[in-house]
Amino acid sequence: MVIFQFISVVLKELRRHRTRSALTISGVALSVCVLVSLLGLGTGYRTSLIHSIDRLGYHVLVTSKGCPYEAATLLMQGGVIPMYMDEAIHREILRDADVATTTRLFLGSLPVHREGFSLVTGIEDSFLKMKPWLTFQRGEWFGEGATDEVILGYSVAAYYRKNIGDDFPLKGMGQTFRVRGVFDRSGTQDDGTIFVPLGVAQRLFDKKEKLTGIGVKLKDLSRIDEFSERVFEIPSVQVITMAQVQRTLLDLLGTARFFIGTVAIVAVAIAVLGVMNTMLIAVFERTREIGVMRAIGASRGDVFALICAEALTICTIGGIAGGGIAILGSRMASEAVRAILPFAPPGVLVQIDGVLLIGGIAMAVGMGILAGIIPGWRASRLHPIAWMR
Amino acid sequence: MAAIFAQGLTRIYRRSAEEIAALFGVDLIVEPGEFVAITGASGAGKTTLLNLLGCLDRPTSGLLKLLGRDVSTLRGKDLETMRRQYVGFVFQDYCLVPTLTVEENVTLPLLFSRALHQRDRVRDLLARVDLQHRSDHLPRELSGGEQQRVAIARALVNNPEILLADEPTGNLDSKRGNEIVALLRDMNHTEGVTIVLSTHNLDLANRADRQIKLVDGRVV
Ligand SMILES: Nc1ncnc2c1ncn2[C@@H]1O[C@H](COP(=O)(O)OP(=O)(O)OP(=O)(O)O)[C@@H](O)[C@H]1O
Ligand SMILES: [Mg+2]
Repeated sequence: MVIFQFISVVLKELRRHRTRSALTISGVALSVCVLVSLLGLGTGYRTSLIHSIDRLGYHVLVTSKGCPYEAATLLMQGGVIPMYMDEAIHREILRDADVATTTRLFLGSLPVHREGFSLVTGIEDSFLKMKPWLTFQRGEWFGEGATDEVILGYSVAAYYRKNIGDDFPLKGMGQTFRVRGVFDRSGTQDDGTIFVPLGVAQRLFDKKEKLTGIGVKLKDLSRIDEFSERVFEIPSVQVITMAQVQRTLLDLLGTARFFIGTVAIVAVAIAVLGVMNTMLIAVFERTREIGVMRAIGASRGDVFALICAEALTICTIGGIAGGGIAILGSRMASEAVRAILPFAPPGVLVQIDGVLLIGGIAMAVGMGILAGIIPGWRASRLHPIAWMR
Repeated sequence: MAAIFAQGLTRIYRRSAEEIAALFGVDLIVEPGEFVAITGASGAGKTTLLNLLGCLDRPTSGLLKLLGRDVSTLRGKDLETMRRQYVGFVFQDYCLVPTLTVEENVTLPLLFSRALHQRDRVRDLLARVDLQHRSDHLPRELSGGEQQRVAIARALVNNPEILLADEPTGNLDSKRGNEIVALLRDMNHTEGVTIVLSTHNLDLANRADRQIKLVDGRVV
């Protein structure tokens, strides 16, 4: 086939200037990698987020009034929000006709030591009812009236290599705890949390009769608006619904994606210009060769096709390389994103599937055509004997 | 019907205000199968004439017919077709594509005329120029004379009626130059291709059927 012959001519041409070809291809690879990772971030983040929210177990979280981003963060991963509400509010909510179950939460943060885990959550029995999937890998629930027991999330136990009955010092709390149980992996923030009984948490942080949040499960999810409105009447309290959290966090993601997207578009534009520049130089250098080809029978179209095919080849190789790098680097990219975004759900945030990969390569092919048109046109306009003097 | 028929062929180069008549009122008839040498001092217009005959350039005025077809008024695509089908071109400095092997260089015109099924012709011609054992070599691995033989094979692969060679021996010593002319002579006999070459070298020119001398763009 003629096209393969063209490509074979092109590949030999690319091998002639190895460094230049490699650099140009790297530029394309980089831009495609950024682009594919960015799109992969959208899907991955959304999937992880929805999974995490499903796994929260409650339909709404009642907290004291504050910034919605903070509230979202508090809900998803805890955080140091020094705002507390009275236990009285819990009793009021319990009386509400739409409420099925509630669980009181006290979230506190220890002074960070090493890279370890600092999130301490005070919970009560109903916590497990809200999260039926949260099972014990080892050990069991707090003993009756115990004040020195902790239950560890999966990752915490793994990190500190703690077993049932081991001592577990909580830094700065002046008291040593004993490990009573370890939860199974849940794929949520619970894995990285140290749990203590609610009363113990309140005492540790010196906030008797105070709560940071109340998780609420409704009898009927469709009554969520009515319920929210009633809670709204209670002073200094806000209701965070799962839909809100999702929207807030996706908004946040949207902003981040907008900025990364701008960078990606600039990267793509620079890559296209880079390929175009390389090809223009190549055309200039090959004035004679192109003239000779015209003399031995190449049509304008042939010359255009040869130059365009070269740009296309550069971009396609770059696209495949960039897609590959994006897949290999998706874990690292996930960690990078986690460092940038104030809240990121657990799991791989950058997910690149086949469709996305093919899309990225198609994009690169498009870049190749775009970058090839002007140099190809220039080459095809060269007079067959222009090189002679 | 003449292979080449030119009447009052003129090529004037315009450079800003200046006009250079590189070729002026050239009349020329070359019969099919003829082997013609164009001689003349440097700047006499040899290259200019061959470029016109090879449809690489267009005359400013005058009539030019190749194989009975008026090409003096042709443009773009039609000139491309003429070049592809009827004319082969050999340059002084060989002008092989440096990234392609000998065989690929000779195949290139077949690619451009979408006639890759005629690959046998490549083998055949490489044997004729005695380079079949160098098929996979790159041009830079060949001597000047060998490269020029590849260029001749390349010019003939599409079975052109007319072969134009602009100082094909200009870069070669007299022994290699003689070999090239002998090869062209051979092709002229066996393939029946009409050959017009230009040269400074009168010894070589003497081996042509006929000589045409150019002086300052005119035939004398
Ligand atoms: N593109 C051009 N622009 C301006 N003048 C030109 C151009 N091409 C050729 N000429 C002039 O036309 C004249 C004939 O040039 P040409 O190259 O045809 O000579 P030649 O016989 O091939 O010379 P040589 O033996 O040195 O190759 C010269 O005076 C040259 O300077
Ligand atoms: Mg010349």
